[in-house]
Amino acid sequence: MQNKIILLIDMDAYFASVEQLCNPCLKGKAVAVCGDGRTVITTASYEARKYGVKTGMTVYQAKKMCPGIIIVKGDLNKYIDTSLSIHKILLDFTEKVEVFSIDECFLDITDSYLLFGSALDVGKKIKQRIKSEIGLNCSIGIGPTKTVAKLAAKMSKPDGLLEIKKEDVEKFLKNLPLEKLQGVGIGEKTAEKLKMLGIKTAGELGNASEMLLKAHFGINGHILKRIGQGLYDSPVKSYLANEIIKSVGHSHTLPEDTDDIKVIKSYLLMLCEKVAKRMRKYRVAGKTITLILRYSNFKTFMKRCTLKYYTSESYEIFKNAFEIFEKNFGLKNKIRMLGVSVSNLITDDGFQYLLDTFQKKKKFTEVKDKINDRYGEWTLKPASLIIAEKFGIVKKCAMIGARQIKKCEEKI
Amino acid sequence: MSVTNIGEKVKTGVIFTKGGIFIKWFEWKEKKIEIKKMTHRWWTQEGQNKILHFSVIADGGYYEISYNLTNFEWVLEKVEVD
Repeated sequence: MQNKIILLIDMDAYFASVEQLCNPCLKGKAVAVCGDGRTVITTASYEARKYGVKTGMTVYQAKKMCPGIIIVKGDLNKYIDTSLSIHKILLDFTEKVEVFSIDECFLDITDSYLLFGSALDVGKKIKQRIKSEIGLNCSIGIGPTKTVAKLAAKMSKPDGLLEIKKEDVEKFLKNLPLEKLQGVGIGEKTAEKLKMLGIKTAGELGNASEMLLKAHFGINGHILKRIGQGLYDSPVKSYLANEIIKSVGHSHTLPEDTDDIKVIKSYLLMLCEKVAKRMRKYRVAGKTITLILRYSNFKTFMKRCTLKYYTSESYEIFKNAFEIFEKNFGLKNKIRMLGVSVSNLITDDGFQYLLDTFQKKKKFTEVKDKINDRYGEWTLKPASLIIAEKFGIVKKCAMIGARQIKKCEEKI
Repeated sequence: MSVTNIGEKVKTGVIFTKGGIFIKWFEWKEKKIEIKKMTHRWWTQEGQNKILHFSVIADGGYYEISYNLTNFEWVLEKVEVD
């Protein structure tokens, strides 16, 4: 079997770098990007990181650590469109480009690298083009698997390029502390649990008994061992495959945590309107509705229900999502984030509209969509959305995959 | 340094060439402001409106200007002046 060559392109301090690119006065300065109305840092420039400023910190903490820090309000549209420009460059090297998040992409160049020289040459050319055409720096990791490529990128930050060849993987992982594997399949808690079993390095994890790992981590024991061996892998999806829709979803962090049921209901309806509109745009209908909820203590819960029929109607989605909320969650705590997604999708060929009730709904929805398309989003909207608007509506949500949206909104 | 949202229509001098749009100047508060450098551009969409955004550097500050491809309006969106 041919050895695979996988690249991970990871943009350096992405949001902060885009802001420094737009406004060169910010270059070389400690900059932090925060979200709309939020006081949490989503990304900090490397200059700010030197002072210990990190993602997730409050603006107050950041200012205390780095008094001269410049706080910039993030603009998700700007970052998404810049990402799309980066994707265009990457697609010149292979069509196997998997968008992992707003600032990370995997590339499988196994079949194309010879056109450009070596794998390292591909890495150098990508870095050069992103720098000259967009003006941003990135770090690139090259390896035989996604995990190794991600590790290499992580180690080469910032503005680096590191290749770990298949024959060097074992040596590379042997003494690598487990902490370095965080973000590449091993979380903080798993690392802690592994340490309690006497496993402190990736090499030790690779050599550990699979029986032992399975006894403590279930089926994941096998995956953990493969990660430790540098063998855990999944294929890089092609860019076109990214566009095959498996679910449609939206999530929003509220401008401030709330336990006001009217606000929560209104926000949920707004999310369902957005989801339903996109479903209609993609001509899909679904029957599994998932509600994601994060409380102010950052505890996140997810619950789903499957309907007997397919729908792309916002009120149907809302009704069921709210039912999930009432049955399973309730207001135990203030709510920080809400998300709704619809999966189990089929192409909507209009079959459900054979029923009279659906016919009326369909006509109404068509007219509503036409008006909103022509005059702008939310021109025609349910009256109850005004509550969400007053609370601070989030206007921007670009049409990229649900997973990416979730990831970038977690950052913003 | 802080960015101020403006949202005012502005008169703009632009060169359309080589498939690109290059802003040379714009008028704001009865002053003609010469663009020194266009630093970045990106798209957004509002309904059917496609809007092209530019970040530019001119004398005394940083500006964000948008161009609506439906009604051909230029808008000064944001300003950051020292």
